[in-house]
Amino acid sequence: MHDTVERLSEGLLIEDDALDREFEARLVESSTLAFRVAYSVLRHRQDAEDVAQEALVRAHRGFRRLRDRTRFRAWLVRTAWRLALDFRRGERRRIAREQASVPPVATRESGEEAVIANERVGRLWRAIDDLPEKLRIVVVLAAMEGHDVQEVAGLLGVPPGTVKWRLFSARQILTESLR
Amino acid sequence: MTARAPVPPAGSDGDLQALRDALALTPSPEFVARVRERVRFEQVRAASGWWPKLAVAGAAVGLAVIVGLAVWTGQAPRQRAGQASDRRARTATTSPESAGSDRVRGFSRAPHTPGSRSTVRRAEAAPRSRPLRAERTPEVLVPDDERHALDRLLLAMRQGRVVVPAPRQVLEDENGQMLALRPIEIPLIRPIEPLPGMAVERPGSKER
Repeated sequence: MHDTVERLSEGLLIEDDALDREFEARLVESSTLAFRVAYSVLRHRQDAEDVAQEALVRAHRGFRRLRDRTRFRAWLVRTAWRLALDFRRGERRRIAREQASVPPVATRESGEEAVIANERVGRLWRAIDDLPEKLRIVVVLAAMEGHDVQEVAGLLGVPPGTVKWRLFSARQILTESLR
Repeated sequence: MTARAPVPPAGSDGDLQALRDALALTPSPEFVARVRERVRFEQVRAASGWWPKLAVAGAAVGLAVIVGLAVWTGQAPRQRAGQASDRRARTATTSPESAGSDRVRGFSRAPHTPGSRSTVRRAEAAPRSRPLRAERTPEVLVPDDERHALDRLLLAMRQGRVVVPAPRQVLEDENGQMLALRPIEIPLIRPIEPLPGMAVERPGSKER
């Protein structure tokens, strides 16, 4: 009886170790993705890190239950996106922070060019924020890490044709908004 | 194998580049370390959260068992005492003598049967309920005030301040009424008659 319990405990410990190692690998490769997804919604580094951290902790909690580990990134993207949206809804000082934290885009540029670039990025973010949610996340993920249509479709769990159609619609709306 | 072509995300090439640059951020160097620490903390909390809950649940169950046993052991003697008092009450209502008012503290008159001596016996001990543990005080047979009065009476008797008459012997009649003892009446003794032919010597007859 005691041996059986010991073997079971050892088996569980080994399984836990394997899970921890696998999650560590996923954490290293996906932490930047979670951060960028959160940042695309919040546009604030510290808030984005907090939200990404929460998303990764939740991912760890449910990692054992995740049958298809290749879906981890898609799962993480959706979790980080949802958490970031919730965070932004609950944050009353969002507008003030947005004004203060428009990212400096081009380090090579200076002076008037930098101001123009920042203004352009600010307008772009506002236009992206005005997009419907389904189109917005497609645009953000497509601009992130050189994702192609297949990868965006994989991350969102939708067919590639849907991603193409949403991208086309988003581009039309953005062109109208930024004109 | 198809070539992976990045998707143009926004309206124009300039917007595309601006958006890519804006999203080409990396978290701070300590971000991953913070996540690892938080995950470890969650694991420890989840692991340590088991035993306190189990201990609290066990303690609650033990306490419930103890309280249940205490309640049960307290109620069972009360029920037995209640049944016994019911029996006594039934007996009292069916016995005519028991309705008498001569029941003295702790003593009662025994049922009277004709021809039998009246006796005073200890009242039938009531089946006492098993006392709870908190009721372990000794039973008071003589209250303090009565004992004090008795002590004073005895002291006064010793000092001669009080004369207590001798107790009267009492008896009961057939109806159970207590009566004072009548004085014993002894009839006069009659002289014995002499037998016929027997000479009777009378005092002073020799002198004749």
